[in-house]
Amino acid sequence: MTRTGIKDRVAIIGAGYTKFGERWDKGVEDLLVEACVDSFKDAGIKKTDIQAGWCGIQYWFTGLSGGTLADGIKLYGIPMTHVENYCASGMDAFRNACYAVASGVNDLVLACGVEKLLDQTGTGLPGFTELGHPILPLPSAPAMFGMAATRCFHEYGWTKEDLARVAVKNHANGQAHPKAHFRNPVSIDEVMRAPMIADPLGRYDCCAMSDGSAALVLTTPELAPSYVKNGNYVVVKANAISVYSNTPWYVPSFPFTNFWSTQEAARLAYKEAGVTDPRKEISFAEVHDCFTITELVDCEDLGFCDRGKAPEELKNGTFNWDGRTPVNPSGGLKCFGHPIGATGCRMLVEITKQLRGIADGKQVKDPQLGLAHNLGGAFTVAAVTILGKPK
Amino acid sequence: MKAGIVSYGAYIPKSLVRREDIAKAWDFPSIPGTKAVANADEDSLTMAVEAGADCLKGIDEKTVDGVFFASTTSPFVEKTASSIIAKALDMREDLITIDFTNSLKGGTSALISATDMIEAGKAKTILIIASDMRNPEPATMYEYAFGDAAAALLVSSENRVMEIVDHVSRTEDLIGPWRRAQDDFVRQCAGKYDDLALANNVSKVIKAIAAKSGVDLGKLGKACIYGGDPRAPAKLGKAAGIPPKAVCDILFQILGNTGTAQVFMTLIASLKKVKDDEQILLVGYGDGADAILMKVLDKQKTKDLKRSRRGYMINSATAEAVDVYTKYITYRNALKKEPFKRRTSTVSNHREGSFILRMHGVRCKACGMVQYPMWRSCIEPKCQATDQMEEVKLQKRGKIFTLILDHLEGGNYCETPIPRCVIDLDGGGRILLNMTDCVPKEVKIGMEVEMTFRKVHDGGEFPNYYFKCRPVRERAGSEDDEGTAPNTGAPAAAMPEAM
Repeated sequence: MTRTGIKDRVAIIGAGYTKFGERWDKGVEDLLVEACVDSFKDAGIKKTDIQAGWCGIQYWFTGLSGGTLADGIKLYGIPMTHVENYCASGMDAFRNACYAVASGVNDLVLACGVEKLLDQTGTGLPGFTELGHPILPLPSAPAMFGMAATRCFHEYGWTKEDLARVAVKNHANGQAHPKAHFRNPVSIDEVMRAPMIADPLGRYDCCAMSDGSAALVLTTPELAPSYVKNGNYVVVKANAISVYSNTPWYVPSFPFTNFWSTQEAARLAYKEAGVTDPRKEISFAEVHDCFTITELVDCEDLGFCDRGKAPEELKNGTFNWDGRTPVNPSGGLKCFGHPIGATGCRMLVEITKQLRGIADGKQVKDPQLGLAHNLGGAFTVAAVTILGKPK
Repeated sequence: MKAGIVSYGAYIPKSLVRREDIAKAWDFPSIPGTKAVANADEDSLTMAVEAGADCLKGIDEKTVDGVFFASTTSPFVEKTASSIIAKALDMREDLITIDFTNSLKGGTSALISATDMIEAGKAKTILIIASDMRNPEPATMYEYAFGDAAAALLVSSENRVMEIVDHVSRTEDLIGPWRRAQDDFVRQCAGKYDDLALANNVSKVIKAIAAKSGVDLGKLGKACIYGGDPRAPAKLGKAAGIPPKAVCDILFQILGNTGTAQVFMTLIASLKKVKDDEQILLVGYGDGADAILMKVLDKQKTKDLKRSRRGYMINSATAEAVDVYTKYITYRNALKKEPFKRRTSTVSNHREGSFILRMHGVRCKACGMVQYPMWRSCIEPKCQATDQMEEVKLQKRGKIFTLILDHLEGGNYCETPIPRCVIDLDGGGRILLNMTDCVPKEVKIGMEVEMTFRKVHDGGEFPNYYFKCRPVRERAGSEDDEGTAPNTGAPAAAMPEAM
């Protein structure tokens, strides 16, 4: 058996998501129902048409096992799986669903993600006293990425203002998005003056704690036209995951100015999609901007600009929603927050809607290929998915 | 073969609290000077590791046959601290470890026991560490007095610089200062009764050692006599017929009363000037008293040791970092804050002792890379070889590669951030360590740091020990300089020299 890859072998015919934010009045079940029903409606199918499901969830308190999804939408008896891969949990759930379709085992499946963070009202991500090695230091999530900021400041001369521009751009985009957690513009000055979380990262450099869910219905490209009569559906062009150490601070050669996992996932995805010049061929991207520094490094790791030049390109408007390579036209994690298991699927919903020309927020102009990128843990797990139009 | 001192070392925590700040807090009359206070992540065990490491500088720790730990403030009531200390100092496992607890004279008692074991031929070399971090009740005289420090002596029948000539002990049951297991603070004996008991025991034990050894007290070079206040040793010495200039400063003005460590601290500080054949008397006190007579064998070596030992130095950096009283009472949990805890395991703590306490790493025989912790497979993505590792001892110094000032610890926001430092160690290996004893804003890429042994959290209801890093504590001035006294705001005359 030869390796065939995933290109043009899976179609997305339904996409749905919840409003992201502080959903105090909703539980995991509510969020799953809201997103999944939205995706079923979009696909024009009944819940019971679904043959198998994968659900990305990171935290044990959101739910364990496939039972969380089965109970969530009350769909029993079929295979359902809980996928956990840090911040790439949702996109990995999608990857597994893709493989079921591409293998020919199933031809109508559900990929979704959900996270209910606000029940654990804490400062920053919950569970940090429960995770990891009992003794070895465990930096907070902003601290992990902040280490990269410190190193980039040192090597490239980047500044806190360079970081602030990411927040300003993404808040400007998110303002237009009805599903976003935050819909307020921010100024460079506001971002710079915010309280420190992991110095040099302040409050506006960090994405928020939010609740949310997103879902996609997948089938084969052969069956897709029978569900989507006008032919306006999208297909998967590439899907790659790359995993490096959970503890990069013990790797003597790790540079902290770029992330190996993203680079490798991008290399694999571009190869699969046949992309040779991402700056020209990728119409827009939803990248993992868990922290402002992350987006700058992502843009370089994904090949959207030269090494060390992301702040300059950002300043020049390259990554604006109407720029050369729009980055996070939705507003990104900065505006949606980061319900961890949901985020990957939320990005894919956004890409799908953009490609179909029905974006709920800012619509990028005439997109052909859209890229979604997740980066989880301490730059540990990177997922890159490229979606495009059917052949 | 008579036992003697081979080496010594000490540890003084970085922070000093001014007594005038304590006075201000309680509207008390002020007394001069400062006291040394351990940081929130220190206890008598971690300070003992620091003093032990100082004492063993340039000495192979595998030659040591026993570790005796003396303290009234062991972090454990059941379980030895000495076993953890021995592991953190990367010592052998065929070792005798004993904790001498519950008495202020534990240090001198440990020294007597070690001397007798060595002279009986049962051991060759024993490391003795006296360390104390006594908790005084706020707004009492004890709060002015109690200071935190650790001092170590290496005792052996070989390579001695001082000889232990003789010793005597006596016991007397008296409720002097005491503390039951359930008490937070040391309790104080009524009025001046304890002073009388001290005078009684000390004078009797000094008479006894003079009678037993035949030493002429009028010709003693130094007398290191325990005192609960700065004037006590001079009074006791005078009463015993010891020349006033022979009575050594107990460092009360700068360190406070360092409890079990006090007599050793006094001795170490006094070794700046020594004469060949000089006779030195140590007197420890607590429910009785111990007297130990020593003789200098090699004055040059005794003094030389001091140059290479860093722990007793309070350098200029320390002086700048004099802490305020409010911080100190927070360290001592007087505000009853919930201690930081993580999910932990007694089992994994033991299994991983080689890299948690001994600070060992591995070297990959396939690619040569030194790495931490002790992986089975090489962490370098270009290599990834499995089971090609050899265990290596990592150097405890290095340079910061990158860092972050983290305001979050276990989901709690902390106003003072924790510097988390990625460090390239001298001799290879990269590690992530939290920084302590520092001004976070001053931490920069490229900064030289060294490891220090600390309590990192209280998960599992036991102290979880590991290393942190700190800015290198260089001694001030040149190599020949014996250090500078800190500017603590107290009159310069009150400062002991060389501390």
